[in-house]
Amino acid sequence: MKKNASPGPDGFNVEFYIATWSWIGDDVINLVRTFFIFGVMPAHINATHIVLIPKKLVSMVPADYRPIRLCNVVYKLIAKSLANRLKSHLPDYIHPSQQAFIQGRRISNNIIIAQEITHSFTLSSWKHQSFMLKIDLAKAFNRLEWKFIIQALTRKRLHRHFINLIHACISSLTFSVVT
Amino acid sequence: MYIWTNRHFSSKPIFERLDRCLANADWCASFPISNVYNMPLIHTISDHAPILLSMDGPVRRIKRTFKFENWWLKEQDFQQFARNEWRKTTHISFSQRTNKLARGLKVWCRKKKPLQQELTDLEEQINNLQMQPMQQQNFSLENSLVNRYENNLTKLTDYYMQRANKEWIKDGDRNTSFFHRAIHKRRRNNTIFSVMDENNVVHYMPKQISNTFVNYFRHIFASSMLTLIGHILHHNSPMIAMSTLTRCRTNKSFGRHSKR
Repeated sequence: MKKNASPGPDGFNVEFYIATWSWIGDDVINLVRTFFIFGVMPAHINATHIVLIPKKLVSMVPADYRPIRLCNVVYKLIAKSLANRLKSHLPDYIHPSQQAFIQGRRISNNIIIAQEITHSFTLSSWKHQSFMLKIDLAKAFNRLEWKFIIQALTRKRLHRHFINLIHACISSLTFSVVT
Repeated sequence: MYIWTNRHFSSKPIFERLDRCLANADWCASFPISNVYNMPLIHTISDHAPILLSMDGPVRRIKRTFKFENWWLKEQDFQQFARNEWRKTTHISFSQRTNKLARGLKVWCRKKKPLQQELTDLEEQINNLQMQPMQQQNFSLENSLVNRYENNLTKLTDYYMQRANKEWIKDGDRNTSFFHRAIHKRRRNNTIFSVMDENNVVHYMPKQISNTFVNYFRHIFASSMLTLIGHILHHNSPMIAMSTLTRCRTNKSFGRHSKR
């Protein structure tokens, strides 16, 4: 977790928790542990602020802003520990052609592959008729359907409780946009 | 966006952006909500498009939400005060406790002298002390004042660091006027003066701007394709598309080398 990151809706940053860990730590540990046992997200823990960062020099429409989400530190602790559990298994779950967001893979690999493919089209030894599609996908990971996530995880035969924990995280989220 | 054109649309059209507004940091500080608008070019009136500098806009009174200040950690009574506040509220939920603590800290910090003012006061005191004749000088008092001054400067740096968001600033950099400008520029860049909604209507009032964004995100986050999901999961179609792509790669780029 970045130390100087902006705080979530509760206003307390990582720096605060580090400095006060001697008397706040037990309560934080308790909260996280209770969540992992019962799979119920306490109220308001994952309230989230959406802050808009302009993507362009002159931003006109809402799509010209990149929404970033500020979560509470306590929620990040929960989400990070879930993500870390999943992390080591991701290479098995995610197809090798998907290069982004996995340790050891780089999105630039796919760019090189794409370049190789276009290059091979121009070779005289290339005898097939072929075409390429360039699709501009809007960032998708913020907009996944809950049901889809749960179904996909179930198909991967993850433990029921682990899936429940993830569902508790995503289904209790509340947003407020900060302008 | 252009604001001047030679109107030789059929032969050699030139579109230029000639007129600009330029202001230095001091001016920007004096007119924080100023903004520049380019108006439509009406060539029968002038070959330049009007450029409008508005020095005040709709006043945005932003409700300040609580944010933890890192410099509070350097206050001597912080730990004790915060711990006591925290321990008063064991019977309620965690988020309610952080809310209570935030409220307590808000009141607590109101009793602190503003950092900048404290700095000026200390400076004056040190100066007064040093003006005294040599034999009357109180060196131990001067020493403690200088220490407090030093301490205050560090807090002020914390304050600016948290706002300027420049990660490459090291501890001990204390170029406060630089910070000041960086913060100001950041605020300007991040302030949303107007936004166009899905019906191409431009909104300038803060209330309408926020409504536009809320609608936009509500639309994005709302569920829309429930029926499709089962379909994808059963047919696994994205996977098929991906594997053809990888096969393509193995055939070509690696196969080519092995042929030689």
